[in-house]
Amino acid sequence: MASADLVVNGGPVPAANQVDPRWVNPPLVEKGQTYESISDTICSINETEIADTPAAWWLSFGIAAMLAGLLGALIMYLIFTGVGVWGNTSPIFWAFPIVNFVFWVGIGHAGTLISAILFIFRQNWRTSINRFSEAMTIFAVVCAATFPGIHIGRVWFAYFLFPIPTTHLYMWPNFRSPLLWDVFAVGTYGAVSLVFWYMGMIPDLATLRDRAQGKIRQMAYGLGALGWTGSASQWRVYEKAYTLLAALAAPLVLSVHTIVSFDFAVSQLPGWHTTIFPPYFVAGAVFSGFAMVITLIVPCRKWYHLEHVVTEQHLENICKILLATGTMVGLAYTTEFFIAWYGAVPGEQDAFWNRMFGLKAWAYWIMFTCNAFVPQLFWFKKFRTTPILMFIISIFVNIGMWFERFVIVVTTLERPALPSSWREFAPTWVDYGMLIGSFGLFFTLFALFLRFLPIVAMAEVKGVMAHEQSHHPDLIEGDYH
Amino acid sequence: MSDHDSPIPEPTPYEPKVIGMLAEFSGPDALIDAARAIREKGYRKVEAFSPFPIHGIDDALQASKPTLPWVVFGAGLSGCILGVLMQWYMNAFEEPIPFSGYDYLISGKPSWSLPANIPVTFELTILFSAFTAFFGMIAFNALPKLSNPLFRNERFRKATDNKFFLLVESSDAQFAEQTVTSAFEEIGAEHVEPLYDQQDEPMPSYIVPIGAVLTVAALVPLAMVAMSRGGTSQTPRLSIWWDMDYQPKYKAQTQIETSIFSDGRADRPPVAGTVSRSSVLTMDALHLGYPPEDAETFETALFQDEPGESSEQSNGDETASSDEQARSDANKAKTDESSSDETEDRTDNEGDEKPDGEAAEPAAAAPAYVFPWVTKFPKEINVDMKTMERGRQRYNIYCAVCHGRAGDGDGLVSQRATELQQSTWRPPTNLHQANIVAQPVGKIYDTITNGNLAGKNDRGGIMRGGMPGYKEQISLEDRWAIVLYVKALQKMRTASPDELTEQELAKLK
Repeated sequence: MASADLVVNGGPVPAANQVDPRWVNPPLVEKGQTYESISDTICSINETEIADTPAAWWLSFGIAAMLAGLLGALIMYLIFTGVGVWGNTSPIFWAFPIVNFVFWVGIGHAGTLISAILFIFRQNWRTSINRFSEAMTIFAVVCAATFPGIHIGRVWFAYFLFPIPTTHLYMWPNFRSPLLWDVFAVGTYGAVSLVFWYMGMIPDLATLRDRAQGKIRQMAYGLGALGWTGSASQWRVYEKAYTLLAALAAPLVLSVHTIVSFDFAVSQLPGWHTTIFPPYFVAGAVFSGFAMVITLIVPCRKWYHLEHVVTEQHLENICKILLATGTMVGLAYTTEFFIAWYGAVPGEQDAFWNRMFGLKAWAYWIMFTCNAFVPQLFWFKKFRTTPILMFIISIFVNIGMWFERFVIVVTTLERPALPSSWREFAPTWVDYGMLIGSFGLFFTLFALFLRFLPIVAMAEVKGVMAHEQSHHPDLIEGDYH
Repeated sequence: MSDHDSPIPEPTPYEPKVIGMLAEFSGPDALIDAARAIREKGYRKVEAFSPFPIHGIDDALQASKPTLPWVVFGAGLSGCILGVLMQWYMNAFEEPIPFSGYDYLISGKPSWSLPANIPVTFELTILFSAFTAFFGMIAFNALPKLSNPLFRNERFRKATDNKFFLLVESSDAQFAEQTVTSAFEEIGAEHVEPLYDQQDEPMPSYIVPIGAVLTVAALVPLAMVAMSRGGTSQTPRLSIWWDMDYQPKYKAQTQIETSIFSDGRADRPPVAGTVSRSSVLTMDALHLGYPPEDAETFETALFQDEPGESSEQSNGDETASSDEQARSDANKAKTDESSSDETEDRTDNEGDEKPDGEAAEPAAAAPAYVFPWVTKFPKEINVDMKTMERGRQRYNIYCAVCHGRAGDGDGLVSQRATELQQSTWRPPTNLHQANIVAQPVGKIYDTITNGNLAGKNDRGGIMRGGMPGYKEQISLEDRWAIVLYVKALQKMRTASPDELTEQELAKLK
């Protein structure tokens, strides 16, 4: 049972002593763990009595819930007063609501990427963090969907977004509008992510059900588990469905931010109308999503003592992805400028010059520093292996990615083609309040998730353990776990 | 002995039946080996339970592959087709039927162009397949099944934690408690025990109807909202949302009660010194082609327009005079265009106002209008070669496409339309027809400006013919320049060398 002969990313290695130890990855689950200890560690978080809930949880939940309440109150204020409470004005009609929307949708990309794409590539290290990041995805999509929903002005007509027949109007959505594509893309993404997340959780909810003490818990987890028994015939269909969902979600992840980028790219404003936007947006989304995973998992791992499940190996892998996508984003920023210069279209050149040295140059340089320069620190192993350092970098990335959307939306709209329409955007307190409130909503949902739902995919981790302990290296090839 | 004394029979306690034998194993490898062994012993109704999916158990149980992928494929295909059909129906199809689609015309693009429909089609394909994968998993596994005899078994609770189980069901042909138990013990089970069924406690019969009624009742308010919004009504409708039905604003031509304006009117008079566009455009002969009522005497021609636009059959009638009556008639016609109040007046007068020359043409129908067209260019227009050159250039840009470069009514557009046998095409006029040649410059100017005169409509207003006015496209000076050029074109056909001076002739040679 030598754990050293088990590798993560490669195939089986014949024996530890034949391999340079530098090339052997540490085990995904630390030694000394049993199936039971995994269940105990994870389930004990949910099984704590209400009175014994850690004070830190109450504190963070309390603050987050207050901010979420602020968001709710501000939305009410907006609905009853009108969109004039925002700083949105001609010609900057998109402003904060759309910046926040794109920001949150981007955050929502890491979850399904980890679940789907890493699953398809057989990256077993995903099992410890996939539940976590899938939950993050769902909550980020909830935050994201809020903003266009209230940005439409007359909120009670939000159903106009959907193709619903009316009795005496020939009125249908215009399917040639990228904004409508967005409705379908984000809607599908939210729905599929939810299904993916829930389906992955069914076996773990069954574990919680079977361990539960007390009627209410048994009932609640029992309903959630749908009567799962873990029979071989159930697992058979389940695994097939999970593989299919992963295969379907993988292109979906890539399509969502592509379509979000169409909102800009299909319009004709200089600075927006570029073909680089789809790949640039997808890279940025993965980048921001993984940064948020680090932001969330570093403290949670510490508080809930999950170091043996979410090992340094996991964190280092995420840091490497951050480094790669951060560099891609930096390359995209530079390419945009090159194309603007090379394209020799004065309007385009002016738009980019304005971004870099114009009214909002400070926003541009915050974006460039946080996204392109700061993640380069991950070239050093010390930064990839020290949780506190990667946490700090992830905060920088979160800030930088919000400013990226701000730069794209606001600096472009401030300078339309007609100079007489130029205007400087000034956000109101409601704008700031809603931005902060959306973080409140996100963390409220996340705190509830941490408290009541299994935060690590226990069944999958157990499967990886079985795999690592297996004496059948031939089973590793193509194995689900 | 009476019936009252007989004791009420005790309900017989439910005797659970054995529905299978459950054996416990410690690890995934042990489970696979045991599953293979128990099948080798001839048992067929065998099920394995584990906390995580085990690779190899399906082989050991010789289970068939799930058909779910095919179902998902079918759903994906339906999503794709439905996505395309939906977008086609809603954006490219329109018929007078209920819930018809709406054929959007955007920037003259074709109403059906696939590239723009790919994103939504793709998303629907994924949505349909993903939901089918999920709900298919639920359905194939017969979930949700919240009540299961297995959950009554204390040891089985570990099946989702760290223990592995095999179950041989009692429906198996070889099933007998003792033999199964010994078979399990033989292959290394840690624990074997029978699994009992449970008493059926059917759902109370009233739950379904009550649930149905409550569901329907909950939908009533929603349906009422939908009805009030979607339907029509004779009375002012119930406004759940005000939309724009009631707005804090004042309508034009009303009085307001507030003291916003001292005169109490809702609308504001124009700023002092405002000049209206129409007052400029009807100021003089330069803009009209005929002098307005209060203008100084100007050399004009009474030119009678024939009704309809077919100009072949009749010729014009030209009387050089400054006819006050005709002028007032023209002005009256002008007012008629905006108001029909004077219609009757006008038709009465019409007969009287026929110029004398009309008597020679009894076949011609009632004349449309008699305008005192100017016969000479207004003084603002320089009649010189520079204007002529400008007129030639403008004519070739705007007029030649229909009337032809030489004015024969054979422009390229006309040729093409005739070739296509367009039934709606009305051939342009040949500018060398006698009646056109006879037209005074004011009349030609009016035609260029407003389109050709084509009689009057039922209300007595002026009706224009097939040629549209070009006043929005061609500037005032250029229109007069074109008139000059047209006159030159016409002259070209009839002029003789005698009319030229010796010098000019020499120049041409």
